[in-house]
Order: sequence, then structure tokens, then C-alpha cells
Amino acid sequence: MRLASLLMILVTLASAGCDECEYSAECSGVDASITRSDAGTGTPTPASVAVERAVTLVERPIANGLASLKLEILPPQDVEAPPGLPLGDFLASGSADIWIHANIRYSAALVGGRNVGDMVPYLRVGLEITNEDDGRRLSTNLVPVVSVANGVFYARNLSLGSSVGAATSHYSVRVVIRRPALLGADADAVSPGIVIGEDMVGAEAGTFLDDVATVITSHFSLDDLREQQVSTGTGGTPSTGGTSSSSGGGYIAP
Amino acid sequence: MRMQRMTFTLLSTVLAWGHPAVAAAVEKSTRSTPIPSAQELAENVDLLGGAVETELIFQEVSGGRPSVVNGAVSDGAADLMIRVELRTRVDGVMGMLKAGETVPYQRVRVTIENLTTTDVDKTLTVELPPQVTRAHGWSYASNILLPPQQGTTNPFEDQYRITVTVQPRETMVLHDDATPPSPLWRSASPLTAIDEDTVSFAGVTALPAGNVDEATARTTAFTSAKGLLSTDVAGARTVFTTTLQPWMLGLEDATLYAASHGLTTEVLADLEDNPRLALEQQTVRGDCNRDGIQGAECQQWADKGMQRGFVMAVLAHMDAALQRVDDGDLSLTAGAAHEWDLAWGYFQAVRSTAVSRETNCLTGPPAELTLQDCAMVAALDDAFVDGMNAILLDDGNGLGGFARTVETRLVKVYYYATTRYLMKMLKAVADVVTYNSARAEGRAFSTSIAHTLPAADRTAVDQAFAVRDPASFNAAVAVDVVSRLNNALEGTHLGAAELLDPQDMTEVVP
Repeated sequence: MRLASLLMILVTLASAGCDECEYSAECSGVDASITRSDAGTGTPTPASVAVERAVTLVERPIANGLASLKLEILPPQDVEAPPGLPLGDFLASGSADIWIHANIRYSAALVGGRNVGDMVPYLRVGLEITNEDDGRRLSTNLVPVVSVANGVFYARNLSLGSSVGAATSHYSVRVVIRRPALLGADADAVSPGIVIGEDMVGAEAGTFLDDVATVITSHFSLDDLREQQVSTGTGGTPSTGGTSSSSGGGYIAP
Repeated sequence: MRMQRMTFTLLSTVLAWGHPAVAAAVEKSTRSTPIPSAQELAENVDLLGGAVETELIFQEVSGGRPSVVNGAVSDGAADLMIRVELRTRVDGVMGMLKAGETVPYQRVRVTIENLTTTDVDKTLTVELPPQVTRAHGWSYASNILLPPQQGTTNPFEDQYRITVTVQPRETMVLHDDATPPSPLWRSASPLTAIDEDTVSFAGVTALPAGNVDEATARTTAFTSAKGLLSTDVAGARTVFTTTLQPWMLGLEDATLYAASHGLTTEVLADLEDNPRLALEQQTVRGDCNRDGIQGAECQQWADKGMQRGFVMAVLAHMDAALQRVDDGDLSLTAGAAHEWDLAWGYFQAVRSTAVSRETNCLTGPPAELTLQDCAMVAALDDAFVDGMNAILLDDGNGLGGFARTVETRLVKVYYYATTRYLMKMLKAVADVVTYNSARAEGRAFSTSIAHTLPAADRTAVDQAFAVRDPASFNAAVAVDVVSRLNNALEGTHLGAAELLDPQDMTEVVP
């Protein structure tokens, strides 16, 4: 079992693609909606993917500590979403099996933040989830969602079962956070194009205004999403519901 | 065995987006003046029931990445930068967690209408893109080339109406707990966040600030009628009847004036009568059509009678402006700024009289009377400009003082005019026609300040001017008139240096 686990980890590292990954359409699926990769042949039952509790995949500072990221998986959420979102329509909760969201908030009243805890707006948050059983990959983005209880964050309902299938091993997760689109250049509907003020120009390096994208990877297994799963071991454990006040928290799993 | 999670960050690489990390320059338009610091133009703390506040700010032109003019990428010329801050006022409302947090994902549109220009290119509507700066955080901002975008006139001397609307981006996804949605996040039509029509970027240096067409039309009619008096009385009468008469009848309404002026119904009763009768060549207070003497006396009563109407109009519109300030309506369309503008507009009809009297005063003896302080015109011009700026830039604070300055300076003009024609009467005692022309002129001038006198003095002064026989008029009568005027006006309207020494009348040489 120990050897098997080690092999699984190595597979995960390999499937992450690259430790230093240039963000690109191929890498991020910028030009794709929820897609199914050609790799793999298994067709797991969608019902096998179920989120019974909130799982925190990542909770850490980003942008040299200017902001914090909390990446969570929750059960699908009911939303009112307009059609025509970039990289695909927002799935209704009944068509999804997980909800993944990224709370990206200021850790300091700097670079646009007025208060610690303010949401960092207009970011372009790319998401890839790869079924490490067979390499099938879902490429999409997280879009701004407003919640009365939790503020504004980036999220999506996803259907792993009907896209990359139920993984018997695990899924690798790759989040690429790109600076807000610039006006007239690379804007889209969720990042409509901002202007970096004169007093910030030249000082973007290392911030979320940097041209360098922030890439975060993690992974989870279906076991992690189950209620009976108990936090154990080393190397990170699933949380039992987002409660971070600084991030606006998550949703308590049903 | 369960797969243990490993979280790691992959180092990223520089992406070649093609944007140089240097701020693009935006050229400051050569027609506009520098802005020393960011200034608030308007604020609305009532948006969405007070949950959100909007602030409209202007500041110096600024570059950025990319540089923006009129809401679009450009490094062209601009006059200023307009910035809108849209922030929550309390914690935990409408999906915003903290008070003071900028509300993102909004379409913030600004419509700027130049209220001063007659140019067809007078309205500009732009969408302000989100901007992030070290100094101000997130806001919505753009450099702006004010309308009209062509031309060299300093746009900071014009007045503008600025409307800011806010509408959520249609791509916003609402969590179930945010439905039914607040208008902050789902609205088919824009919310008006700010509608401010007294916007001045640097105050005014000249008037009018807005539309004074009605005052200009009447001033033009007055000038026209006055020009016809000596050659075409019928024509002058037509101009008066069609353009000025109904308006002057309206100005006889004592409720138009603050009680402090002393403009009673009795005092105002002959406001329209005097110029109308004079233009009809009928008797005015025993003057004009008396004993066949018509021309000169009637001209003076017609001219100065119409002037009196303009003086009253100035007072009425200044009082209206003060009332609008009290009502909280400062607008340039119908509020305090408009009323003040009209007061200035009507003043233009009598400004030449102020210029002439100041010139006379500065000429001094022996040809003219003099005062220690002859200044009249600049104080009037400045008070009008300062008053407008008090409205535009300071919510009308101090306007009463500027109105008082205008009022007292007008009294000074007509006080000097009245006494000057006393002198003219003394000089002309040997020439009955010239004497009576001067007498009628002085008498008609005095009606513009008659309301400042106690009733007894008002009667006495008018009776002195009613003396048609030069042999019955002398320096002692003139001294008495000046003394009565001085007693009424010193300290209330004029300072000691602005008053004539009554004994100067004894030194007038016929």
C-alpha cells in the first residue's frame, strides 16, 4: 500500500504537467468550455461523485502576501446565472456534482484594497481538474458570484461525473490566477478591462496585477468529499467547512 | 490507503501579453488650467437606501496602463480625470462584507452636459472603466476631454450638468442567498447615482454660468427702446409694450422681495406706470407732458423708469437665489445658481450707468461731484462672480453677503446719480429746459433708491425734485436732499467715504 501511494503521488506530479507552467490556452483551456480530454476510456457513473462536506483544497497567501486564497469544494449551490458566460454557462445545481470556489481577498489595505478582507475583483481565475485515472481534463474558469452571506468570490458548479468522470484515485486541481484584463486588450465579460493607475504602473511585479500568473495546484479524491472521512495524516487534510472569517468563509456542508 | 493531499505552488513564468509596464502618457489639453488636487464634485449617500454611497471626484489628468481618454484607450489630450467611488456604507449589505468596500462589477456611466456652450457638441457620455491606484484603491475613472471637445475656450470656466448612473454587469452570478437580487446586482435599467447640474470645475471667473436668455432679451429690448427715445418714441413704446411692460408689472409684486429692502406695494406701485406714461407722453408725477414740455423730461422718465425695473429685477432674483439656497436647490437650471445668473443678467442693463457714475466721480470737481471712495463697478462685478462661486462651490454659504454687496453698490450708483443731478440743477438754474431735464433725470434716478428712505424723507426728496421753477431751487434745497439721503444710507448701505458732503452743494457754481 505504501508503494502504491507513492506511485500515485508520482503520477499526480507528472500529470500536473510542469512545475513552472506558462499560462496558455493549452494549459488553461482558455478557449474551451467544460471539455473532455481524449485520454482515458472509463465512464464512471456521475452519481459516484458527491460532496458531503466542505473541503478546503488551498488556504494560503498569494501575491507576496497581499492577498489570501481559499479554494474550497462544496456541494453544488443554487444560483441565478445569466447565459453566455465565458467558457460556458453556469451549471444548475441539479446538473452539477461539485461546487468549487476561490475566495481571493486582500490581506492588507494595499494595491487597491481598502480593508483587509475586501474581495480582489476582476481577476481571471482559470481552473483545470484532471482525472488522474485516465488523464481526462476539465478546463473552465471560476466566475464572480455574489452571496449575501459570503460576499463576492469566484466559483462554479461543475459536473465531474459527466466531464472527467469519477476518479478512483484522485483528481489534480490547477488554478491559474491571472491579473485583471486590461481595458481594450484581453477583456471579457467577467473581467471587463481595467486601468492600472499611473502610480501603480511599474510596481505590479509580485502583485496580482503582475503579468505573471499565479498557479496553484492541489488535488483531492472522492473519499475526501465524503462525510465519514476523518481528518488524518500529514500533508494537508480536508477541512470540515470553511469558517475563515478573513476569507468570508465557505458553506457548511449539508 | 487514502491519497494524501499535497498542495504546492508552481512557479509561474512571465507571460508575454504585450503590455509594457510603463504608464502611457495622456496629454493635458492646452486649453484647460492645472488642477491642484483632487476635488469632490458631488456625493450621494442615499443610493439604494443608504447602503451604498457614490462620490464624484475630479483631478488632474493621469496616465495609466493603458491610458484612457473618454472611457477608451487613448493617449490623446484630456482636460481632467473624473473618478467615481462606489462604496458600501455599512458592513454586510447586498453581498459586500465591509463598510467602505468598493462595489465591483458595475457599469458606471457618466454623462457630462456643458450648460454654458451653444455648441451642438455639448454632451458626452462615457463608461468609466475600473481603475486601481495606490492612492485611491479601486474606483471607476477616465480622463475626460470635456464637451465641446473642439475649441480653445477654457472648459473650466463653463458650467456642467453631470449625471452618474450605475448598472450591474449582466454577467454577475447570484448565489441563492442573494435572490431575489438587489438592484446592485441585477437591474435592467441604470440607477441614477448622481445628478448634479451646478458643476464647476474651478469656479467661474465670469458670468453667466448658465442660460440667461430671458434677461438678455429684456436687456436688449431696453437698450433698443432707449436708443429710439430721441428719434422714434412710438418705436420705443412698441418695444417696451411688447417686451418689458408685462414683466415690469410683475415686478410690482412686493412678495418678490425680502422685507428688509423696504420695497412695499406702495413704493412699487408706479414701477411700470412711470416708463409707460413717459413713453405715451403722458404726465409722470407732474413732469413730462406738462405745459407742452415733452421731449427731454419724458426721455428721462422713460429711460430711468425702465432702469428702475432692472434694479428691482436684480433684487428680486438675488432674493430668489437666497431662498433657493434655503430650500436646498442650488441648480443652474431653476435653482439658486439660475436665479443668481438672472440677477447678473438684469444688472447688465444698468451696468453702463454704474460705469458712467464711477467715471464721473473719479473726474471730480469742478465738473463733477466726488467721493472719497468712487469704486462702484468692480465691486459689483466681483460680488456677482463670488456669489455664483458660493453657490457652485460652497452650497451657497456666504451668498447673503454678496447679495448685500450688490444691493449696496447699486444704491451707491443711484445715490451718486441722484446727487449728481442736484448739482446739474444748480448749474442750470439759468436755463429752464436744461434745468428741468436734469431735474427729471435726477428725480427718476432717485426712484431706484426711494425704498431705502423713510417715508417722510422719500416725500421730501421727491418734492425737492418737483420744483419746476429754477428760481425756487437753490443750494439749501440740495443740501437738504443730500442730508436726508446721507442720514438714511450711512451705515445701512454706504460708508462715510461713499457719502457726499452736503455742503459741497453750496460750492456748485451755476
